[in-house]
Amino acid sequence: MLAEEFVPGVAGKDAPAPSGQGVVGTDGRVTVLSTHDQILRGHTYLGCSFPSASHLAKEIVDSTRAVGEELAARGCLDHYGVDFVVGGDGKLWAIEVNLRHCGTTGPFMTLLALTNGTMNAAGDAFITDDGLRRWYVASDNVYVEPGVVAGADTSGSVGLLPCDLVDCVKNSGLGWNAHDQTGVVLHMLASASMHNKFGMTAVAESRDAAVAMFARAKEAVNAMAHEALVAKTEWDRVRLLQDIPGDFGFGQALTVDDDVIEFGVDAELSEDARKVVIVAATHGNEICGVLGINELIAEGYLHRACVDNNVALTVILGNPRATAEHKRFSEVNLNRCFVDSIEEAANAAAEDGETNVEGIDDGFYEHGRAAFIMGLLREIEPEIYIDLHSCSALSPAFALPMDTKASACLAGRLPVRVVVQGLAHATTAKGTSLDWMLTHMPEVKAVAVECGRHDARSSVDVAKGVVRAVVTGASGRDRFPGRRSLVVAGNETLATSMASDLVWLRTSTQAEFVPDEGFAWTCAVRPFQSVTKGDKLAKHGSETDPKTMVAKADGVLVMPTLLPVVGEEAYFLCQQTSGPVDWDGEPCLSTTVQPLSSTPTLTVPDIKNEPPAALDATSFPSLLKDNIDTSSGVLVT
Amino acid sequence: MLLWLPGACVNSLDLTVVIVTSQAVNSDIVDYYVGLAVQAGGGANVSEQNIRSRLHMLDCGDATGGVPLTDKILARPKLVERLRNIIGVKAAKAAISTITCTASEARLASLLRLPLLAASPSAVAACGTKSGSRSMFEAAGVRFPPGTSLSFSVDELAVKIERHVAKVPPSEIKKLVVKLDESFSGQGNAVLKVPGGMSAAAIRDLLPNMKFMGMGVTWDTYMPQIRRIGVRAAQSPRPCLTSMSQCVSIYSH
Repeated sequence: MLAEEFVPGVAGKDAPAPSGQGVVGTDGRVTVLSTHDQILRGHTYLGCSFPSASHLAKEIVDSTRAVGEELAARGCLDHYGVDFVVGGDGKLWAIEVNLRHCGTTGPFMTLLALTNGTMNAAGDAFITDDGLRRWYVASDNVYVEPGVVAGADTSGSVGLLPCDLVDCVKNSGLGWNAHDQTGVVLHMLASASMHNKFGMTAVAESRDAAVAMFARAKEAVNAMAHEALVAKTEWDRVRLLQDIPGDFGFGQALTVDDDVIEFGVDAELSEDARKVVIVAATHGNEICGVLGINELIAEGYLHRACVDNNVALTVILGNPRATAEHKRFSEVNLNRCFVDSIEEAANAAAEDGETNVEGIDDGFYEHGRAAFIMGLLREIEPEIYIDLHSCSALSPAFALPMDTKASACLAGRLPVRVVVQGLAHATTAKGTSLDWMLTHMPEVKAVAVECGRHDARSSVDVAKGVVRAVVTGASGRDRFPGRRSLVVAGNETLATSMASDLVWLRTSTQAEFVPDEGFAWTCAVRPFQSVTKGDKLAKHGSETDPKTMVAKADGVLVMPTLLPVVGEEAYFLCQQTSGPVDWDGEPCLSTTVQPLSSTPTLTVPDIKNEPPAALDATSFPSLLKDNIDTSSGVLVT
Repeated sequence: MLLWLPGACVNSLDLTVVIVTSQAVNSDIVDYYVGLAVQAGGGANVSEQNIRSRLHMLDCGDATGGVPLTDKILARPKLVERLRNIIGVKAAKAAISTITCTASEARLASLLRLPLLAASPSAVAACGTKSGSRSMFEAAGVRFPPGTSLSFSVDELAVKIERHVAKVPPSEIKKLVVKLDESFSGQGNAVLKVPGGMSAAAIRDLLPNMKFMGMGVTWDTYMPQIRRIGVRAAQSPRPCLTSMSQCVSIYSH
């Protein structure tokens, strides 16, 4: 250990840090090969630039040679480098010698080989054998930066292989061009896959052009990495389903093979135990509820909470086959199959001795699942029914109660900011589980919850919050400030138990649905965006026969789909109300209730770390096209 | 190492390149550099076939960390034999080039019957360290920042710094960079601010509060290295080929 004086740069700035490279031959002859400037941001080394732009280049060459001759005299061979700084006094100070190939050696030898040129004696210009002057910017610490992806695990690498980097640079037109003697050369390709970094040299006809080329190549790699991270995040979500261990001492996990779990059934619950049914993944690509429930199991929470709160909870993975296939549904939309005809067909099949309800009637998988879930609901006769969903669009969480007052009251006490009434019954095809329940089990407090966007981590957290609220709220414990007990009495009024920041909406029209494959938004739509009657929202039809879809009333867009499926809803149009209303639009609060002091305004999107979806009319159609599996007409996410 | 391929193959048309690595190199990487070599050669005499016939990629199939590549090669006599066969009749024109040599490099050179071009360990120790750098700058007549000589304990360094700032007025604060003798990329550097005329004892107390430049470095992690690196620098240099590149290249003409 030793101490030496710090060489300050010009006041307030870091001192420039050039370096010189040379080689000592086996005959002891010294050749100075190059001068470089280090590119620094603060103390972080970003790379180097060749040749040095320093006005002291000649002195760098001379000092490097003098050090080389000293090395030769002491019996050292081969490549070496000398690091300098240019002090605020304008003088060159030598800092240290590196006896080995350093970061600048590789890029320089590459340039030498590719151009067959040399650096001039003054150390400030490199001339190829064709007489062209060339500059480069290089780094062996180029980090792959995929940017922000919602819910992504950014701790590892995105696994870019050498061929990916080579193809990426080539496809962006930046690969080495022997004719122009410019282009990008890559090195340390093997470390990208595991360590997320690689080396790169950009050779160009000026220093600025080299800097720009380096930046463009880096951008191209980062764009590729972003795509990779999106895909990887998708896979991580699917894998979580399979990976959550079931042996924390609390039994199993909700999986495609173990699709019904009961809690608190074997425990000693009192006779008035509250029966709750929660369905997750009614759509196979909306798995936030499954992930949330499995996390609550793994945390040791769910079993204990059910016993403590006297809750008999049944959780159901709604559509196991679609979940395994990572699709919205396998054959038909499960949430349109809760209809009498399917239940009757299942009952008839059971009477005929057909024990496998999935084998009913026309054999659609989802028909069997719907019959199975309807049968379970009739058997359990729950007090509370929750159906956990997520959306394709960026969206805050919102609740969709069945159209009864008690359900609306329950919705108003869940950890969401928006309640949309009527929507669960406004689908074009009908047959949601809430539709069926309103006919057959209207006394149940039933709410569907849209927890957020499919791939957002926050959606899992919302799902967990809803499950916790339902389980603990049933005994009057409140874990959510601003929400009172979830116990809803038949004749209860909302009174002040409703959080003051809760926004209430009501669907005013039937849904608009996606009429054909030509459907595309004509503007960048966002959930809960206000529209005016007559606004042109989307186009559809063919190029020869284009049609437009306009807003039929003033209102708010709810659940605008980013993954349109022909025949399913494109969006719902809703109006804001000051509180829950009944089906005829009359307030369902009794007159004794204090009106809210002011109606909350709908400035809803409050989504952390997620910028508004930057979609425009031109990028949108291609997004749709790329995602459509034309064989099935189903959108692949 | 493959980055050298275009230059090596194009500049010497009868050069044979043998690259030995710990683990096999991805074939896409080899393809990329062979492609660059063909471009660099302008197509005429340097076809892809020509380059591939002169390029030999060998590996130890051994990902063990912390073992020098040369030792991995020596542990595989059949690999050494293969190397000797490749070099074959060209042995008279070939040599092994490494930065320094330990007994392992000497053994490999003797098994391959090649001369070893490498600096002696003591020469590397004398030149490649922070203190070695300063002594060479002095001998070469190159301007370098004033500072202390190499110290092997904190107390010794404090005394030398006291001497260094003795003539500086107390109103002036000297900014010093404290360096471990063997370290890379500023990892062993720390910045110390000392008022002029300060005593060794007071300087000794300042040292633990230096601003350490290395990632995650504190006085507690820095302290033990003072002794370890001091001793190593004094007695034996680190063996070559244990660090970054893990590659031996044998160029035979």
